[in-house]
Amino acid sequence: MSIMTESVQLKVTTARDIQQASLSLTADVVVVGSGAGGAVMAYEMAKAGKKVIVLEAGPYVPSSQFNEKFPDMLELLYADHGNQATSGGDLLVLQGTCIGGSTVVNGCVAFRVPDFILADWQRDFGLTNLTVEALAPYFDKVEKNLAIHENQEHEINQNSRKLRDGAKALGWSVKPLRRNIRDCALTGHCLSGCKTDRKQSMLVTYLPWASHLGAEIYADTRVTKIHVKDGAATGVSAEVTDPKSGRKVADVTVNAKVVVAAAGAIQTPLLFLNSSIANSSGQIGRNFACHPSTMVVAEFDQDIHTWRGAMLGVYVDEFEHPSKGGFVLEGGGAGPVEIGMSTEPGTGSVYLDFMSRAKNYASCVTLIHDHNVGQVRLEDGRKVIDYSIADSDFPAMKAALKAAARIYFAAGAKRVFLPTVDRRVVESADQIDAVVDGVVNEPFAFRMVSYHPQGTMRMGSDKSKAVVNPWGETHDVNRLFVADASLFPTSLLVNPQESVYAMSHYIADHILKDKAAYFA
Amino acid sequence: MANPLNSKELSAQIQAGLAPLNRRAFLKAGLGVAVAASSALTLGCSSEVAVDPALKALSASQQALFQRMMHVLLPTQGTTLASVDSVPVLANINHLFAGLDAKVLGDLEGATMLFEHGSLLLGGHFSRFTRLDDPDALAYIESWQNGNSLQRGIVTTLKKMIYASYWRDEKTWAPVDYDGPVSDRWGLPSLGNSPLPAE
Repeated sequence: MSIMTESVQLKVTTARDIQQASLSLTADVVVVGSGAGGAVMAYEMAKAGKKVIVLEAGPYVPSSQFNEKFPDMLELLYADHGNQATSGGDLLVLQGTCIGGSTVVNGCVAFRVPDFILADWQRDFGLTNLTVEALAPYFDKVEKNLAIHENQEHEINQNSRKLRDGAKALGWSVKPLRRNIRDCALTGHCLSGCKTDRKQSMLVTYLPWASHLGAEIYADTRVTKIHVKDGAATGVSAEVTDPKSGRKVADVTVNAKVVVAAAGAIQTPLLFLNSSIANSSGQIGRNFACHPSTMVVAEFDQDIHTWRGAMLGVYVDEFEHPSKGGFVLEGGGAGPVEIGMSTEPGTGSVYLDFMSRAKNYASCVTLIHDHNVGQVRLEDGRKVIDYSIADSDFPAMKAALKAAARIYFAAGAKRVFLPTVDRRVVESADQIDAVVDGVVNEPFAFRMVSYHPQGTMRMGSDKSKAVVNPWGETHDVNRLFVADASLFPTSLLVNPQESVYAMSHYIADHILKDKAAYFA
Repeated sequence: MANPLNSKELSAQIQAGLAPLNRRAFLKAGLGVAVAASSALTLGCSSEVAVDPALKALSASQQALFQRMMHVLLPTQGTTLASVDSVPVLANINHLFAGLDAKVLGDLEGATMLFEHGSLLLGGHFSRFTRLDDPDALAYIESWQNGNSLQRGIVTTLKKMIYASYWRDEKTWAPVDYDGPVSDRWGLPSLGNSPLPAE
């Protein structure tokens, strides 16, 4: 096998580098997935001197190939070319499927797990080890490593300033977002990948660091089975596929002392289900949550150019706690493709009239603390994501829309466009309740997207109710760990990337503290 | 929740939706016969749209449907926006279809077929969608937008394809002041990999 260096940035073996029909590899740790959880795990293990192999199903796309055209990048960098959707078809689930995973295509927003969420986990799932104090050193470290910082004033664009102005006028709490970015160039193209490597994604941080310390990284390599013998994981089987032709290039087997699944909340449960392992609880794939989000657009007299500047500037946390509503609003910019698909106040000339004023719009994203009502499963070998807005979550969806509309009118908006499939435009603040309350919880009520799938490999102390124990190891299979957002027993409410980094680091530390047990 | 783009669900829903109309002889034999009959009834009602053989991912009927739909949805004539005819909307949709797997394509085939013939079967018009005049075509689209979840799902999906295929083209950006890609234009250097942490 020849190890090719695709660019000066990262040493990755891709399908075109592999000549043999089958490869048999050996490692101390095999990591499935190269996103937030997998990259941190690979680095921490390599730093401890372990031989690490990382297998990523997606392609390796160096940042030099990012062209800042969102539709192109959806096809190149995202799961199912940007078409991954729920079985109902009304919620797009956007995930990065490339070396670096979703960290390559996210909006850089970083939060620690909210304290009240950790309290829920301790009380309801026996995760008494996951205290604010216990996790703080892990958060501290990843924040330092990834240059996570509060947005400075120049990183808060006109779009976010409108959200901030309105919230302040109403006396509501609004704060700068924190992001993992160095010297942000303010291009606004985060979701297309950061062409100039300012975003501190795994592509330019933990993966090259792990590689420098000896970790081997494979792209185009989808793990199909986890091997288990005598109650312990022994390795994985995978297939290498040419991303252009779809043709299988090679079979790969990795024998390893420890297996870490970090393929994300969609693929990790599917891998376990396909392997028919670790499911005595019956919970694998269940408890799917995803922060269903919508985009509220408001029209102002002055130019906003929502796509200019840092994509995400501030957020309104006034309603963050579930007792106050359980939602946040993030000032998020969007280009005409996103605006043109997420809002539609009419058809034909009405739509064109709306789009012709795109530069006058401000936009924000709604995130709710949704319940874990969905499921990821296999049907005839195909991925199925079942999810619809629970009736218990619908009030939060509507409350978020009302709050966003109030903020924009308080900031001087002329009208607010709601993200519904039918036409809903609010012309004044006194119309808000009537217009929003008319929305009924039914399929294709909202135009929704999820960037945050979670919860399908629930962590908990009770093995009859959880797949993974409080330290990330599966209850049923020794030496088999999970280190991605599928662990979270409830939705976080906030962007999950930093929590995945910290949890993966926490789990890595646990593995390394008991080296004798895991690497004997 | 039914999936509007799931062929089995679609077929079942179509048949359920058509049940009240089954007194019509051409519907009794099922949707396939109904579609054939509707095609026959409307044959020659208007001129055919030219088919581009280069657009291999789209069938002739899908090309006709999207051609008609994009002109109804994007009536750019007389506006400051880029003319819909100057943008390769159909080619972009073809590109999008080419990247989809067989199952999704099958679902889309069902969806486009239902939308095309729904005007005859469900909408009270004795014409396929592609042969409705502009006001009727617009009204038909809006009726689906305000229809049941199946109709909303199908029309929203088709519209999104058309909108994305229009707005992704650079010619559409200047009229709305959108900057498009900027890093190269601004001469921004790559910062490369971050240095290994000193731990």
